[in-house]
Amino acid sequence: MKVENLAISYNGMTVFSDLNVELEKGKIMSLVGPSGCGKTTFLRCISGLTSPTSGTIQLNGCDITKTKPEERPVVLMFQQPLLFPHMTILQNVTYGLKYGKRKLKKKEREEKGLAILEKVDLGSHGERYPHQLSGGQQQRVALARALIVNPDLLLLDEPFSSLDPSLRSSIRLWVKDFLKNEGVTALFVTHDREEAMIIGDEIAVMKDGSFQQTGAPEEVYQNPKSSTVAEMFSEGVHFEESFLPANQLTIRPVSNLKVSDTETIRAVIQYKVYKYGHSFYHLHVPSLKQNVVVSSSQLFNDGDHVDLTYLRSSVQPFHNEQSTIYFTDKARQSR
Amino acid sequence: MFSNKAHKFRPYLFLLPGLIIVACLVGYGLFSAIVESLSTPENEGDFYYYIELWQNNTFLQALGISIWVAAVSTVISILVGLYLTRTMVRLFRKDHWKFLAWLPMLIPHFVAAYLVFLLFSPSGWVSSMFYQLGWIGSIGEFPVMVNDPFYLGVIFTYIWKEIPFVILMLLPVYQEMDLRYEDVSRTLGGSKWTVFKTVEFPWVWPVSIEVFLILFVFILGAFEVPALLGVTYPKMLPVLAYDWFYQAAWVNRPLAQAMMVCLSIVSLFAAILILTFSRRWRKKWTVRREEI
Ligand SMILES: Nc1ncnc2c1ncn2[C@@H]1O[C@H](COP(=O)(O)OP(=O)(O)OP(=O)(O)O)[C@@H](O)[C@H]1O
Ligand SMILES: [Mg+2]
Repeated sequence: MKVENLAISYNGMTVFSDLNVELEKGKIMSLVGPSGCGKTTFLRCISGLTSPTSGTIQLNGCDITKTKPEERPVVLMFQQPLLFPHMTILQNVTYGLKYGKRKLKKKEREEKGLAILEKVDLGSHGERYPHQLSGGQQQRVALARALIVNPDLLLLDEPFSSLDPSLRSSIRLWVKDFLKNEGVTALFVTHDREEAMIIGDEIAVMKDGSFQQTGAPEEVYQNPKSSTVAEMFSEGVHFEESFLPANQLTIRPVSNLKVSDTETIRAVIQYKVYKYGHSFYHLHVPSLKQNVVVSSSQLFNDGDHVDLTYLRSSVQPFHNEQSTIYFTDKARQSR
Repeated sequence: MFSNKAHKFRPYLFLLPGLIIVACLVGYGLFSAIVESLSTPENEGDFYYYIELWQNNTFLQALGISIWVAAVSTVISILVGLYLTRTMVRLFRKDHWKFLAWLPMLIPHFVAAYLVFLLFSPSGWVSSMFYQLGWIGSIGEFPVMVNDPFYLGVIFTYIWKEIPFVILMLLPVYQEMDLRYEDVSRTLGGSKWTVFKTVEFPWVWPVSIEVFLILFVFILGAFEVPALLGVTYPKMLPVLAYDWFYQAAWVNRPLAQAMMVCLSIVSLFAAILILTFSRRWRKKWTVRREEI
């Protein structure tokens, strides 16, 4: 998939003006960005439901910018389940196999439908109607309905947003396996950084109508190219021109002691959580108006004022050119 | 609890004077019709006029042509109205074009029928125009479209009068429809026809049936258009009833009354059907919509 110079505006209001992105066949890209930045609009453009103002969309080398949505080998799963209320769950799931190009015989269709319902843990609900299902169950049906079609390109708009955490983690692993086995190229929108990393081979951070950075998850996470990306996707604090990863920070009780090569910022402990057997402090840095999470084995109380210290060399200046690899090496050497 | 109940009945209280007048007039008319139609001549059994009516050839012919006219006009009006509504809803987000549908509604049926007569009768404007243009050799060559045995003029009048009604009935339904389902269908590979079949039709057909019943029964019982544009044989039911009612010696009056009672029963059934239907439909969809 390749998108070039894509632009769209509604009644003169530009949502995005110049989007460029490329995704290799069989890869999954996670799209993250603040609410209202145009993620859904972007997916709608690719699926053909909204026409872009300008720009081109290519799939497997063919220009599909002007192709009708039903003729594109692309399926969009919407943010809302949008199950057809007058059809049973099984009829909903097999919709894409009943109409259009991917038509199958009734028996085949139902077999496939039941199999995929089994996979999303709803095997016994085939005869029910959507209103008899909970929000999370409906979302899983919508997911099954999109997956069953097995398109060349699958667009998922926050597919797991209304699932509880345990179901969420099992379903997303299953979805990733499914997509990989079938070799489906996918674009996946999420608000959850962890989820973006688990599912995506690549991460794209979107803000203000453009892609701020695209790249492998660890690359984007460790080397954000701008303060926006740092805020959206990385963990740490960011200054005007540089980023400081959270793992380079140490919490110390407030003191005026100066150690050479280190810097100090003031912070307030907000609260503490235990995770993976460690304690993590959520801190607020008033001077930067930022929050950061730092692990520490020392004991602090909520509301304590503390110092966050770090080595001056661990600060990474933002690089706007495509030279993140070089930058990573340099950062490592200096440590 | 009590105040709740009182609230529920209050609107009916306000309607009461009107309801009483309507009930008295219609009730009295219907009552005397029933009484008269149930009367029996000497040496005849019960329901004599009803049996007579249903064996009367003139009546059966009239029934046939009435059903033909009502069915054809209604079906065509609904199809065209449905097509226009779904196109307009997609073309315009707002419904400021609605007044276009209101305009023909304001014209009385009689005037509409007269317009059709002026336009399409053998000596009408269209026929004259065709003649002037040299498309037909003489005015007599123009096909008979008014006062014709197939009631084409009547059907045509009803179609153009009822299409706006269909549009005004379907428009709110279409406006309430969730157009996002169309997107779902399209992205899953559905064509425009699939969208209509699986998204729009299930949503609008209950109202379409309602509209069908209303129009069908109305046309079955309406007098002025067939009176102006119909033929002497076969007549449509209301025209025949009028005829029998005012015939010399009043011999056929009980027959006419029996016919009106039958028509009333059909209307009543249609009304009950419409009400149960729309209530059930509304219940089903509101439950489902709330939950989704
Ligand atoms: N049909 C429309 N008409 C006008 N403006 C629209 C329309 N659809 C979206 N927008 C605008 O485009 C912008 C992007 O919307 P979009 O739905 O793509 O955001 P999003 O990134 O998906 O947000 P979220 O994470 O909340 O789902 C918003 O500012 C929205 O107001
Ligand atoms: Mg969205």
